[in-house]
Amino acid sequence: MIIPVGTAAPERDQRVRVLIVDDSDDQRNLLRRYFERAGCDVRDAATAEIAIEAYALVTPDLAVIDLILPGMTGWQLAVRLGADNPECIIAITSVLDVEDYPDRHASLPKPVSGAHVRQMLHDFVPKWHAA
Amino acid sequence: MKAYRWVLETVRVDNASPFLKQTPFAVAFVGAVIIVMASPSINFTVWTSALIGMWGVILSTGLAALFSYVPTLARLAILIPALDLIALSAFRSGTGGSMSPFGSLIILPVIWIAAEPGRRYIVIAAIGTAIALTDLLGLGTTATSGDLLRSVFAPIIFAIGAAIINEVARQGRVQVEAVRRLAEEREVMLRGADDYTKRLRENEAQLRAADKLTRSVLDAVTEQSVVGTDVTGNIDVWNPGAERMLGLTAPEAQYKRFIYDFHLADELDERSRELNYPPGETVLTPGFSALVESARLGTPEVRQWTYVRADGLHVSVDVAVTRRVNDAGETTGYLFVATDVTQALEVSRLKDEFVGLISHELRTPLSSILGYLELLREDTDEPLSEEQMMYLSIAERNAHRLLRLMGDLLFTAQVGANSFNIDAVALEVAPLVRASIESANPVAVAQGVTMFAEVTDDLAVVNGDPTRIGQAIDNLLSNAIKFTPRGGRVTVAVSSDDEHVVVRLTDTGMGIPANELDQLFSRFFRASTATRAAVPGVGLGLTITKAIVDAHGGSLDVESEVGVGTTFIVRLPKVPALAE
Repeated sequence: MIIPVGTAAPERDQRVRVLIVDDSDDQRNLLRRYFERAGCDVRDAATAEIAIEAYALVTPDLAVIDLILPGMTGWQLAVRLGADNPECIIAITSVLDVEDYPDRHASLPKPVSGAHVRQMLHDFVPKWHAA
Repeated sequence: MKAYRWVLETVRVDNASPFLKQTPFAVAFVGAVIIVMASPSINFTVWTSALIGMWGVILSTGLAALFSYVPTLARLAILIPALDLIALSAFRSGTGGSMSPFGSLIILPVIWIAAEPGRRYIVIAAIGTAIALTDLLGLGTTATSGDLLRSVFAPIIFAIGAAIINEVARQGRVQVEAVRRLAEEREVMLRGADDYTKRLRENEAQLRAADKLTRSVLDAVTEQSVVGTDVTGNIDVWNPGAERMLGLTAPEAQYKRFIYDFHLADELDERSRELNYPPGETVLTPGFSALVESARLGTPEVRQWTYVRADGLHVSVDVAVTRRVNDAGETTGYLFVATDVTQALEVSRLKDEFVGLISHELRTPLSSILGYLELLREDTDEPLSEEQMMYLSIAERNAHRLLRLMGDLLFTAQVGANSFNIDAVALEVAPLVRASIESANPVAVAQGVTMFAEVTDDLAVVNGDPTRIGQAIDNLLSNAIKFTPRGGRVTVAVSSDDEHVVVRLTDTGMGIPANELDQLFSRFFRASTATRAAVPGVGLGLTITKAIVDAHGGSLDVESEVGVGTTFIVRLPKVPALAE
């Protein structure tokens, strides 16, 4: 699915668009900072419901989803997003054991470090080139 | 009345006393003497002879009285009729010899003699007759040829008579004996029957008591259901616990329902599949066969099942299945004792939930701490001073330590709840050990400890979870380094025998006292040598390591000597080497 990017600046087009979904402000901001430092264009959402609205407007290249969310859970969001935007790469981040993560997605188990983030981008997002 | 009884006592037909036997003869003899004295036609022809005869009879009657009085002399009783015959011989010759009218008196002693048991008495009777009919003492008148003839002929006749009497008496005795034996036998049988009845009654009372005890025990068990069935699962025992747990009364269940009516069919099917459809007495109900398979083979089994109550509700239960056998040792049915574990499962679930919650709640802030510390460190716009960087690394190190501790705590909780997973794959041990050594190297260098790897089986393969086994080796290795003083050595050897891959970690550390070795693997236990030397730790590492090794079907052993060092030996079941 191709969504026209509209009026965005051309150099922004080259950047990886990341949507971060995490209900913890600290964690959300931390992840935002890591991805920004890795040269990504970051949007974030505190709930799955906000995230759905956000990716309807701008389709991200990568969605980083926390599993435990108020209301709709990360597991449900991953399924929904996968159905809505099959092109979007999904990475799961959580304090839970990796065994509890939904299958077939990249993982960023907490605590996340900048190195983890860069490794994940390198492994799963072809569009990303390390700065 | 008294006299009558005395007579009855005395006059016993089967065993008359000698005196009683003598009495008829003595009376007859006295009669004869009176007749001689009274009758004018009969006279004492030879006085001497008649007197001897009379004295003889008096003597024999006296003896008879004596023998009757002294029972020990009774065997001499046969002398009395013999004496009678001799006396009669004398009396007869004194009252006219062959002309004497008292020859017939002879019959009484002869009967006596002849009636004694034994054929020889026939001969004795004959001889006695001959003596009696002969003038033995030669006191009488001269014997005629008729006399001689009589003394030969008469004894023959008497002998024949004696023989008949002897035989009749013998038969009489035989009959009496037979009757007596019969009576005795009947007596014995009667006594036996009596005893038997008594024993039967006692047994019945015991049985009733045992039955009452069993019943009261069964009735007292109200928290467990006890259900008994025959070999096809038809219910014949149903205690109050079963009534409560399953919602049917005993009359509603006994002989009307089958035990598998109260099981989830899916569970039975699944178990049946697991056991590969065991043969049992009940081919038509493979679920029942699966339910009792272990018990049928003689091993009682406890397993978790779900009971379906009469009202359709489900109950989680632990069911112990045992076999019922008869006297011949054949299986006659099964017993199912079930405990409701709904509550226990709920508690366990809550505990898991709690542990999960805690770990989530603690890990989230820790993740933030570690993340923002990293941001601080890597802030290229405003680099930190060297001192600030040092403070930062201390904060980071401690946050990491906290994270590790929490991970360990969570893991031990999962071990306790039996809820940790092993994702087993075919796994080469040697590379795993090398990786552990490599990652432990910085710490070892900092501690001044040298590490050696001795791999003798490079292709040793186990079936295991790489993360978990790595964790186990890491734990043992970090312990070995931690407890070894500067300049010491830690050796990790990988080898294998027929069944196991063996990893030995030997250090030259402080050692563990022998009396503490058996507690070493319990949660939060720390060796006294460790606490004394103030080596940091909480005592979870070995608990976790052992849980991991156990979960892989392996064993963890330890050998240690204080001040010399410690060796931990991990044995994991070997699998055939990977195909090249």
